[in-house]
Amino acid sequence: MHIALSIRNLSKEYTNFGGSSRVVSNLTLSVADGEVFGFLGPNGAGKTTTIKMIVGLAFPTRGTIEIFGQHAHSRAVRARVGFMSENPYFYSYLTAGEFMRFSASLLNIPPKMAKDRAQSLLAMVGLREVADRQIRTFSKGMNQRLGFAQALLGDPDIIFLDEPLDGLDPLGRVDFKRMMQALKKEGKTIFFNSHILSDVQELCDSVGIIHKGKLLEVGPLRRLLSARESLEEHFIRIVGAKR
Amino acid sequence: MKAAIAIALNTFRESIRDRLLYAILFFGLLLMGATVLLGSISLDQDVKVIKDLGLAGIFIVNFLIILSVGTNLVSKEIDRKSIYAVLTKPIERSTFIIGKFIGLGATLFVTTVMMSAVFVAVLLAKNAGLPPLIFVALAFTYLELLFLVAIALMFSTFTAPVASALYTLAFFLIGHSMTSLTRFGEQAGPFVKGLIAVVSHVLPNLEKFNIKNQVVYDVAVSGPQSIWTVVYAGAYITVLIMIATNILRRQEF
Amino acid sequence: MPRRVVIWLIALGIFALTVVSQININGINTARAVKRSAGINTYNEPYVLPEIVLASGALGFKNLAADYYWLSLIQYFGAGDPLGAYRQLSALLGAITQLDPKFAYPYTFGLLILPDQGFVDEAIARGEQGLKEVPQSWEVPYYLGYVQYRYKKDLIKAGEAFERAAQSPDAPAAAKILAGINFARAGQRETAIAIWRVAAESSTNEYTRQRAKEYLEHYAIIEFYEEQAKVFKARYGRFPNTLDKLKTGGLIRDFPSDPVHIELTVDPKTGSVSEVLD
Repeated sequence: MHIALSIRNLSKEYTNFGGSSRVVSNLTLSVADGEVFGFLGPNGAGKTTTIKMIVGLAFPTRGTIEIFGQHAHSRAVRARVGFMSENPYFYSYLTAGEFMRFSASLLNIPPKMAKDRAQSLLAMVGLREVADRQIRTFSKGMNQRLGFAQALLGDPDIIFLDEPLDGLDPLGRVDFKRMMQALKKEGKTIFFNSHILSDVQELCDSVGIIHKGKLLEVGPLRRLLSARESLEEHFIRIVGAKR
Repeated sequence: MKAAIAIALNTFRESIRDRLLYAILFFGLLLMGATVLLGSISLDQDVKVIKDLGLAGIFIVNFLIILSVGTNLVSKEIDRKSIYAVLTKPIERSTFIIGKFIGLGATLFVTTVMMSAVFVAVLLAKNAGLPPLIFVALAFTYLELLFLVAIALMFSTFTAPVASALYTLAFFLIGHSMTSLTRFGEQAGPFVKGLIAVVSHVLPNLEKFNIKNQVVYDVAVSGPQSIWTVVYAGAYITVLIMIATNILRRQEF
Repeated sequence: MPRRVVIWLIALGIFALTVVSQININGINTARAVKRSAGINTYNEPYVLPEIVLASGALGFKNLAADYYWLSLIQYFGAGDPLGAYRQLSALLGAITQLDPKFAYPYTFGLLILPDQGFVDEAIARGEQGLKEVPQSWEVPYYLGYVQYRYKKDLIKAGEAFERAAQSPDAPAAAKILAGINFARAGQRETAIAIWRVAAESSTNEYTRQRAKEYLEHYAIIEFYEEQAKVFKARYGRFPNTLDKLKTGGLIRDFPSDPVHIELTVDPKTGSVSEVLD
C-alpha cells in the first residue's frame, strides 16, 4: 500500500501578546494512495489549520508533512496537489473561463489544452452556461463549484477540500458527492473536512477525528464504527467524552 | 516567468475592469481638457500653464490610482482569500509579487499613455510645439510611478489598504522633501548633518525623477543623469520587491 | 400618468426649488453687500504661505504652485480690491518667483504694476531677481530701467538697465537710445513717452501693449492740459492753480477719462502739469 499523505507529530502554535496557543498538537496520521479521508471535528478544532499547513498556506511549528514521500511544500509536489479552500472567493472582474485559464497558466498547462480542460471542468461542475459571466455575479454555491473545478485543473493525484459541501443546496450536494465518487473511481486521493457527517460516512474510506488540536481517533470507518452506530453518533460520543 | 506574466495579465485585467479606475481616469482626462480653460485666464502664459498642469495632472491622477488600486494589490487578495488559489499552485511567492508589480505597472502605462495623448493633443491644438523633452519628462514620471507602485505593493503585503495608502503617501512626501531636508541639514551641527546625509541616501529621493519643472523651460537632462536615474529606480524597486517577497514568504494565512 | 413619471416630475420640481433658493440667497447677499459700510471688510485677500513653507511644501510641484499663485494674482488684481490697496500683490509675486524663478513674465508684470500700487522697492527687487534668473529677457531690464527712471529718478541706474536690455538680440533699437537719453539726462517726459511707445509697438504680450497704450493716452492728456493752461494764461493773464479752473474757466467741457488713474496737478507758476506721486 502506497502512502499518499504522511503527517508526523505535527504541531502548530500561535504566539500573541497574552502568551501562545496551540491549535494543533502532535498530529500523526497517514492517508493511503487512492483513499478518501474525512477529517472531522467541531468548530475551532484545527481542521482548517491542518489543511493549510499541508498545502503551504501556514507553516508547522513542529513536525513533518510528506506527500508521495516528498516534502509537501516542494514545487514538484504542489504540481500534483489540488486545493479548494472553505468559502472560496475569486477575482471579481474575471469571468469563470478567464479565471480557469489563468489558473491553468500557473500550472504550466499549454493554452490550447488549458482552454479545453477549463471548458470540460466547468461543464462537469455545472458552470458551462455561465463561463463568460464575471465571478462577482456568482452565488456562494457557484463559487464552490468554481473552486472545485480549479482544484482539478492540473489533474492532481491528491486533492484537499476544505468544507466542500458547505453552503450547497441538497441538489448541489448530490452533484458534489457524485463528482467525488467519480474521482475516487479514478484512483485519486481525497482529503476533506466536513461537518456533514452523513455525507462523510457515504464517501469516506477512513476518517480522523480532531478536537482542540488533538487527534482523538483515526482509521478505516468500518473499524471505528460498530454495527449499530452511525458516524454522527460515534462522533458525538467520542468528542462529547472529551469536553 | 510565464507564471509571473500570467499573474501580471490577471492583475492588469482586474484593475482595468475596476470601476474606480474609470472614475479616476475620467477625472484625469477632464483635467487635461481643463488645462485649456486655465490657460485662457493666465494672461498669455497659457502654454506654460498647460504644460505644468498637464505634467503634474498625469502624475497626480496616476498616483491616485496607486493609492486606491495599488494599496489593495495584495491585501485585498488576502482578505478575500483569492490568494489561496494562487499560492497553492506550484509557483514561488516572489513570482506572485513580481506579477502583481508588472500588472499594475502595465495598467499605469495604459492610463499614462491615454492622458498623455490628450495632453499632447492640447499642446498641438495650441501650436505649442512638441519638444522631445516633454516625452522625457513623461518617461521619468512613469518611472517615479513604478517606484511608488513598488512601495505600495510592499506595504500591501502586511497592512490594511488604508494604512498602506497612508504609508505610501508618507513616502511620497518624504521622497520629495529630501532636497529641503539636505538644505536644512547643512545648517545643523555635524551629528545631525551626518544623520540627515544617511537618511537622505537610504530613504527614496523622488526628486531625482522630477524634471517636470525644467522641461517647461527646455532645460535638457544629460545622458549620464538619465542613465543613473534609471539605475537608481531599478535598484531601489528591486530591493522593495525583495522586501515584499520576504514579507509574503513568511506570511501565514 | 405613470407613477415613475410623477416621481421624476416631483424630483425635478424639488430641484427647481434649489435653483430658486440659490438665486434668492445670492440676491440677498448682493443687496446686503451694497448696504455694508466701507469700514466693514468682508473681502478675503489671497493668503500667501510663508517662504519656508513654500520652499519645502511644494513637493516637486513647484511650477504648478507658482502657476496657482499666478492665476490667483490675476484674479486678485483683475477683480479689484475694495480696499484699493492690493496689499498682497508684492507677496504674491514674491511667492511666484521663489517657486519658479525661471517664470519670466511675472518679473515684467511686477515691474509694470507694483510701482503704481506703492511697491516701488519691491518692483526693483523683483526686477533685479529677474536679471539673474532670466538673463535672456530684454523686457525685465527694459521695464526696470523705466521704474528706476520714473519712480526713483535714478537716471544712472535707469541708463544701466536700458543698456543691459539693449544687449539682448531681441530688444528694440530704442533700448540703446533710451540708455543714451538717460545718461545724457534728457527731459523726463520725453523718455517716458519713448519707452511706452516701444512697448506699445513691439511687446509680444497683449497686456503689456495695452498698458503701454494707456500710458501714451495718459501723457497725451497731460499735454492737452498744458496746452489748455497756456490758453488760460492768454485769456486770464495767469496760469490756473488747479485743473478745475480749466473747466470753470470754460476751456474744457469735461475732464478726459485717464486710463491710468493717476492724479494730476498744475504748477500755477509755470503751467506745467505733472503727476502727484506719493
